[in-house]
Amino acid sequence: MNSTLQKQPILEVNSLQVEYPVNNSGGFRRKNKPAVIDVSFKIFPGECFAIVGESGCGKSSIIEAILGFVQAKRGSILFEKQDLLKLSPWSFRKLRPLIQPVFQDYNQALNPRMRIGDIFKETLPVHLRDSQTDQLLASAGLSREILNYFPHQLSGGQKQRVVLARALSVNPTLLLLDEPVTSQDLSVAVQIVELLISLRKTNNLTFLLVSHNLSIVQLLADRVAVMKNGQFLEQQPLAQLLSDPRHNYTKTIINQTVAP
Amino acid sequence: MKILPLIALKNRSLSSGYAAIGFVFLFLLLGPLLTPINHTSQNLSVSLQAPSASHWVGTDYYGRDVFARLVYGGRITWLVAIAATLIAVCIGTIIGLFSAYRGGWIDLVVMRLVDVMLAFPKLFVVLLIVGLGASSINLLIWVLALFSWMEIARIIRSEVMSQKNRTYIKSARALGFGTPRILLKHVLPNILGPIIVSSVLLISTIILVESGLSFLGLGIQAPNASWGSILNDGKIDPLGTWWLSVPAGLLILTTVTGFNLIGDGLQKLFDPKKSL
Repeated sequence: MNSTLQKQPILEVNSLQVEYPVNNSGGFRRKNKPAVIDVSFKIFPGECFAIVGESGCGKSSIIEAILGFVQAKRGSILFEKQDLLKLSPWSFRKLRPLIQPVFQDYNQALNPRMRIGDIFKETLPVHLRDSQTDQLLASAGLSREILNYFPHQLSGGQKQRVVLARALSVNPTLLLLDEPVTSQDLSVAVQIVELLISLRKTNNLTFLLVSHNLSIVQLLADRVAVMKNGQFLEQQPLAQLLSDPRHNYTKTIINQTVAP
Repeated sequence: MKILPLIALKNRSLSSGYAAIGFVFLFLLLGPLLTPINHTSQNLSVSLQAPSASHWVGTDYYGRDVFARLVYGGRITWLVAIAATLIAVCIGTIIGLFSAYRGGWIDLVVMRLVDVMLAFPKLFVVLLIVGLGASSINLLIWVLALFSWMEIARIIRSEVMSQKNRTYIKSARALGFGTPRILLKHVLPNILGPIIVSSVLLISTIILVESGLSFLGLGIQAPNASWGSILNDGKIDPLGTWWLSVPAGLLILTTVTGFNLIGDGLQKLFDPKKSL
């Protein structure tokens, strides 16, 4: 752990605040409800940082804020020393491929009207298309056959593998994993987690993992933050969190967790 | 999900719509082969003759062959309707796509403009403009198109709204794709169903408006014909000169019903609950 701390963080989130407008019976005065309150954390190259918490605690809002899909109210998000919240749309667009999300709903993550082959064609440079497609398919454990298929012809596990392969096709450094295996059945979930572990090693990736399920987090994470009602309760290295949880809520989560 | 399922015999609305439109289309396509008579050539000696072997659907006041006029008039009616629909669909699609995807104040302003346009009684405004301007087919097409794109824009907008927060659009944004690419390659193909349905339904609406205008003497001008103007020729004595009003009326009825049936059929086909 000490060796990672000496490195520069790849992502540094400081005092992040995200709010959503609340409809209050059609009145003119808009109220905002905070979803993320004063959240700060750092992720170092090559590590997997996980955020654990129940549904609706604001975990996914952090990912949405990093991706620029929701406007952050306050704070800063430094990716490779650049504040994403202050970048112009054009500069942010150029940076986007480096930060790739993998969402929970794999069923909607692929354009239903595009064949898998065309999905890869979109992101790969023409002269390297064939060789890189083969490489990506192999690394995601997929066969060449699926290139002619439409997303609805694939199984859930295959779709999530295609999503991962597509994310890797633009050579990202940071993957934002938003409940990546939650909607998969157990055996497929295990395969995807194994794939994530191997991809992290081979592609030298950094992960920000968001999950409500500590069993999955235990398999992947180096450090874990526990989140409730928009705030971080504590953040610790995984082993320390499991052996010495400081907060009662963390203890509850650990007690509810089935060993992986 | 099927890609543009244009042929589906189990779908009754669709197959009967195809049959009706196919019949009228063949009539318009092959009509000139069946009659050598020019639709504008006059012969007052055979004025207002009932159907006979030489004039299958009789003649009008100026002795022009009604069959030939139905064929050529129908071609003009279809041309006006299809051209106006294409223009309206292009305008409506571009405005709807852009407005919904950008959102915010742009969407607000554009949609209020659409509301204002929709508040005009279409037929009267079109009547006014066509009545004031020198009547020509081009003017008619543009005026019909400029007062028909709003419904399309609204439908497109609501479809884009429902698509733009889907994960595949978010993924496309995260991959760094630009707005034009996302709109054209990702959003548009996924809303083609509703665009096709509303276009087909718009054709029949425009045919009715054009026929109405021509019936009132403001659409297609003589010596050219359109189904509406042939109906107009027969209005003085609709029963006595039935061959002027009935065939033209039946052709309008068949075409409009046909396009509506195709629209309904496609709507059923594109309904995600049934097509999945």
